[in-house]
Amino acid sequence: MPVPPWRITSVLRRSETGPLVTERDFDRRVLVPEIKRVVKEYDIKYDPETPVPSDDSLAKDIWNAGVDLFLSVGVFCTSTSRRMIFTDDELKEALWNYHDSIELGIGQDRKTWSPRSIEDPRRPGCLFSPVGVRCSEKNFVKLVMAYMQEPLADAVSTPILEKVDGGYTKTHSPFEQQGGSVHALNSRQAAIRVGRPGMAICLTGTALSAASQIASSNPIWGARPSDIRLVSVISELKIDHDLMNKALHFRQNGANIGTLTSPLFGAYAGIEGTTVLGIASHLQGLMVNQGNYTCYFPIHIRHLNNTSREMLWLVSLSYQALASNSRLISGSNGFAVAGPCTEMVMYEAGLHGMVSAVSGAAVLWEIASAMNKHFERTTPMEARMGCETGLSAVKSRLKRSDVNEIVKKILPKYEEKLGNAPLGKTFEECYDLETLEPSKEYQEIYGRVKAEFRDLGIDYIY
Amino acid sequence: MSIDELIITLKDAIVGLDEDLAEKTTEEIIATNFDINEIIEKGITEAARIIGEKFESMEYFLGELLIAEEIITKSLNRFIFVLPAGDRIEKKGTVVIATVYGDIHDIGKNLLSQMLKIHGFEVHDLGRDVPSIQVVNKAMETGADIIALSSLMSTTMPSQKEVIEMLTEFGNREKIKIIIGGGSTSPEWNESIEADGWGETVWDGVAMAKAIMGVE
Repeated sequence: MPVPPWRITSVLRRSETGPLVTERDFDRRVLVPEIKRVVKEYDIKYDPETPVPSDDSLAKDIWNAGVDLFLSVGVFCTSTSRRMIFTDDELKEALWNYHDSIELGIGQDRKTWSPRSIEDPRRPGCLFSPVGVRCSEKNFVKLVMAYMQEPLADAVSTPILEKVDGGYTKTHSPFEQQGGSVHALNSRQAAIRVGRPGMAICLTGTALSAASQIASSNPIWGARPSDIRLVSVISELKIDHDLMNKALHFRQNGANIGTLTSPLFGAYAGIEGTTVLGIASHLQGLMVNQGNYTCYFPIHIRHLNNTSREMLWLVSLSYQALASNSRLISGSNGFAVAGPCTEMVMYEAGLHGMVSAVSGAAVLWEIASAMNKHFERTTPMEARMGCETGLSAVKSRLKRSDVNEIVKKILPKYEEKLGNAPLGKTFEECYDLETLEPSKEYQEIYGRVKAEFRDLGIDYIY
Repeated sequence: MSIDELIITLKDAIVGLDEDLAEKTTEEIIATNFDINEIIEKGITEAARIIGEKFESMEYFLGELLIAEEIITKSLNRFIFVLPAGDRIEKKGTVVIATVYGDIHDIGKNLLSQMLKIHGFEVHDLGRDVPSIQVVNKAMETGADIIALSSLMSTTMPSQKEVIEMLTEFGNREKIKIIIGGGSTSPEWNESIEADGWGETVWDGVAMAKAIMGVE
């Protein structure tokens, strides 16, 4: 069970009393030089020939560099322009007191997520996620039902309601609050309709501001403490008071709070530095965001994905570092470039799922399609491929070296298309909206790619 | 050193992020009978081009852009201080840039802001989570040529539309070009809100701004 938050009032005070620094100086004179220092000191080097390394000492170095970075830089509060600094003992206290597992959902739909180790034979949790794709009010319930009826899904995330009652759900407008509440209502309705009323739902993406998030927590809309509620890290190693208000609200109301973090490869650092930032941002999630778990979606700044060669290296080593040095529960959130009903997105999802699972991710949080930006261009089939392949890689007892070979064989099928990937089809084009069955075309693509993975050594369960 | 060699040294100092060498070379150039336009064309613009390439190839990141922009600004300010009366540096255009209301994710905006400054634009960076009316007021107050708006989160995209609607209602839409970008945006969104351009990358943003102003 989750432990109490780590010294929450002390954290709040640090945002008011920490050392004052301009944001430009934080970036220019603290964060960037420290990233460079730790990458050099710990001698972290990317090897494109080994997208899934089996080098335990490299994972250890990445963990140590991440701890060093977090302790030397701290977290910048953009609301007060102050650095929140933590000591080594404080970090050790928080890590030592971290829980052994978390529970989500209620009743028959209750699920448990636990930390895993590298090449762990235990299955990871599965969250099926359309992430932040915009969706119409008309199709929202059907799309969420399609995700929720997937048997592998322990929990689901939900899309963004683009408009409600004729108005854009624009952040800070009254339509945001209305949209956030309707989002919760429609999501719970979908769960009830598919016979999983107690299922944990990731709420409420439409409500970006703290005010609307808090409004959507009212149980009359269907939200429960057993749902998934997220507080973002601002990239990189930053937070603001609006986010801290969310964290405080979720904590004080017993919600199942998690951290949402997305280090950006190509912004502040190269692939090595971004990997280290990924570890440091997990530690921010523990100490500042007060998360019981993390949704981790490192992103390539140009392709908006984490399925390319260097991003899979980052994902693998992040989870190897976390799994071998901590009990932090982290969900590996895939981001694919290609859209639904394409072979490319199936390859991307499959690789992301197997790399995450074998490297030690506690949860497979699959997968954004078409760069998460195109209206209703998402379906449960992408998440199914990511999770089914990840679980089957675990069941097959694959080692990192086995997965490395599969990745090297599959990557050339799409690496050259990352800058010009097919956007595929929309949910409505891929699914029968009455029966919620995927199209024959998509089922055939799914089957073909699955057969390829099977030939490469994934012993699928069915 | 000849003036040509000094200009090359200044360019190399900017690209190499060598603040001391850039400062020393700037003073050496000032001691000559220099032509400011030649320095900008052969030195600073060329340095900006190379820095852009290094950013594209992921050799340089935000930290390097911040340092390069500081070096260029310092050097240009020194030249401006000693310019003979009547001489002036032509700016490439004026840009008001912001991450839209409700959105706190500003890395993409920061990268474009730095690159535009390095390339000689006058940039008014309003920061993150900026109300639409504030963007519009700043653009009208500064006589901006371009408004650049970034949005990462889906629910903040409508603020890009709102800025365009406000400019139209104020009767200034024809005077100011709007370029948009950010993780949640797309060419389809650009078309639907009738913005003047969508950029997928920071380099796209610089290229659009240059194309709008008709400059190299």
